[in-house]
Amino acid sequence: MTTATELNSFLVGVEQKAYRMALMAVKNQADALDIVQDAMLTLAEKYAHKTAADWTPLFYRILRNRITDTHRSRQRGWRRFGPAAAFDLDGDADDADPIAALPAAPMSAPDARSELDATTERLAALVEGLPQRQREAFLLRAWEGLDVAQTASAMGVTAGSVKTHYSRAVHALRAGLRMDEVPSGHE
Amino acid sequence: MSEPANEDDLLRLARDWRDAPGATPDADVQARLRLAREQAIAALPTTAPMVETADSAAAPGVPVRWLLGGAATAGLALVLTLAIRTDGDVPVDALQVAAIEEMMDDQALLEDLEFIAWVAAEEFAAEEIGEAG
Repeated sequence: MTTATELNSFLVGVEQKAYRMALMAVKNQADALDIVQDAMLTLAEKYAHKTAADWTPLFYRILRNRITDTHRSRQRGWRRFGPAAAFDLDGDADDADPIAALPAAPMSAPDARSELDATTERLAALVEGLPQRQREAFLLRAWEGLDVAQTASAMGVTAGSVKTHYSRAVHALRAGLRMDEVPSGHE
Repeated sequence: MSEPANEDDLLRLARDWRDAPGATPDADVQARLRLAREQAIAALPTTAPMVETADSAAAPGVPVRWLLGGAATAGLALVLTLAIRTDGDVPVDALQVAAIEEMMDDQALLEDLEFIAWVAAEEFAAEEIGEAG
């Protein structure tokens, strides 16, 4: 049986990253916390018997499903009650409603970013603005160090799809950082 | 600002962002995450979980009652669920029976099936009400 210590160590290692990923996806702090909490509970209740090596892709798969559920729920509100309902919920899936077409909301208050250097801050803004699946592929590989197969398992897509999304993300991020360099007039 | 010269530089920059103190969630959020973690640990099963099968999944109390229609319906529903969840990007092997059987062990997926059924019923009801009105 899984010991509480093992699972606790795992959750300590992923909780903040998971929260930040969820927040980028749903752009609402309370929803992001609920999503992470639900993912933690589901992992503990349903998948704790799996090996620790399986936990990372499983956890992020659950997290992704919960994010998708939140988007679906908001989409129902949008369809039934119109834009007001979606605004009440602080946005929607990035390819499901007009709000998502707006520039990504800041992940955190500007003050919270003051400790980030300019390049890191710019990268954060660019990642937040990526389409959801590109962002997921990039962050799972960059933050969690998952390989292509693990990322595919976590995202519920094929390895080829992961490669495509990741490649597009890297291209977009590098292009974004390069564009940002022009107005600064140096380097 | 210096442009990341290659993919490795970009990944390094992303890890710097991940680990930057300024990107850490505030104290309230960290407290909520700690509480969520404690609740998850408290929810750890005390006995080994029963392996879910098509039969056991359809047992009373498990939210997959509508899968009782048969294996073909269940398989189709699973593939449709995958299609919806992945925007049509269904892994090829998901279309194989063996892979579908394996997915029957995915509790999150089964919960999604019930969710989709609920959404469909709700939207159907809304349309009925709209037409009647």
